[in-house]
Amino acid sequence: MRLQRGIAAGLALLMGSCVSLRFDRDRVNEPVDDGSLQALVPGQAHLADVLDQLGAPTIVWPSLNGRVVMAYAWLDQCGLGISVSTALQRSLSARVRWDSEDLEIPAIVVELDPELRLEVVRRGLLRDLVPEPLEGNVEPDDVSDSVRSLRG
Amino acid sequence: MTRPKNAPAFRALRMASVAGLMLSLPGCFFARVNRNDPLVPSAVEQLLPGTTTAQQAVELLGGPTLVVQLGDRSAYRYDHTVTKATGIFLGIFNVGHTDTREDRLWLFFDAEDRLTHVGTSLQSHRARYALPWEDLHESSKKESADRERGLVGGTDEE
Repeated sequence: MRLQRGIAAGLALLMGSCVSLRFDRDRVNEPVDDGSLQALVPGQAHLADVLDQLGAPTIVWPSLNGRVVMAYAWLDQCGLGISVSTALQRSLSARVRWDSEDLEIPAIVVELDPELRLEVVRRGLLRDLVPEPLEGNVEPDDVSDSVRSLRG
Repeated sequence: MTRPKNAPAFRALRMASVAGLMLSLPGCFFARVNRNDPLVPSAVEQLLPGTTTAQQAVELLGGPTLVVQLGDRSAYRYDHTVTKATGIFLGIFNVGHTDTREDRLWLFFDAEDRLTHVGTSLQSHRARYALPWEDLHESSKKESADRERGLVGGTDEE
C-alpha cells in the first residue's frame, strides 16, 4: 500500500500536475548602445540628433512648460518560479504560485526643452526616471505599462 | 514461485507508471505572436520632413497606434511587434524564453500638422527562438537578420 501511494505521488509530481518549477527569461528589444549616448551633448543636440543616434523611442510624452520627454526601454530578465496546485473538492482546486522576478525596466530617458533641444539624458530604471507630475493625463505607471505590455 | 493475489492491479499500476513516465519525458513548444502589420521601409522613405502632412502620413501608413499631443505639436506612433517564445518541459521542471522585438516609427508634427521629424527603429526581424542562456545580441546574427530583410548596414538604432 505504501509503495502504491509512493508511486502515485511520484507520478503526480512527475506529470507536473501538483508541483512545477520554472526558469524563465524575457527579453524585449535591445539595450541602447553607450557609444550612441556619448554623441549626444545636452544643450547642443536637437531632436533630430537624438532620433539619428538612438532611433525611435519606446514612448513619448509631454512634460511641464512645453518640454518633451522620450524613453528608450528594454528588458532582459530571468526569473525562477514554483507553482503548487491541489484539488480541494470535486470541482475546486487551488494553485499557489511564487515568482522571484521583480520587474525592473532599464531605460534611457531624454528630456527636450520647448525648442526640442536636448536638456538631460538619464540612465537607470524606468520607474525612477519618469518625472512627476506628467501632463496630458499620462501617469508614470502608464509609461511602465506600455513597456511591460511588450512582454507578449 | 507464487503469484500475488492482486497481480492484475500491479500490472495496471505498472502500465500507468510507464505511461506517466512517457508523458513526463522532455517536450518542447515554439510560439510566435505578431502584433500589427510590419512597417515597410519603402513607405517610410516617402515621408518628407517639411513637406508631408499628417493627413498624407495617415493615407500612406494607415492610422497610428498612438497619438500624443505635445502642446501645439503632436507625435504619431506606428509599431509592429514580433514575439518568439520557446519552452522545454522536463517533467516538473520547465524552461521558457521569450524574445520580443519591435519596429517603431515616430512621426513628429508641428502646430500646422506638417511633419518635422521622423524616428525609425526596425528590429522585429531580429526576434529569435532561443533558450535562456543563448546570446541574442551578437552583431553577426543581427547583421545576418538585417541582410535578410534588406536593411543593409543595420537600423538607425545601432
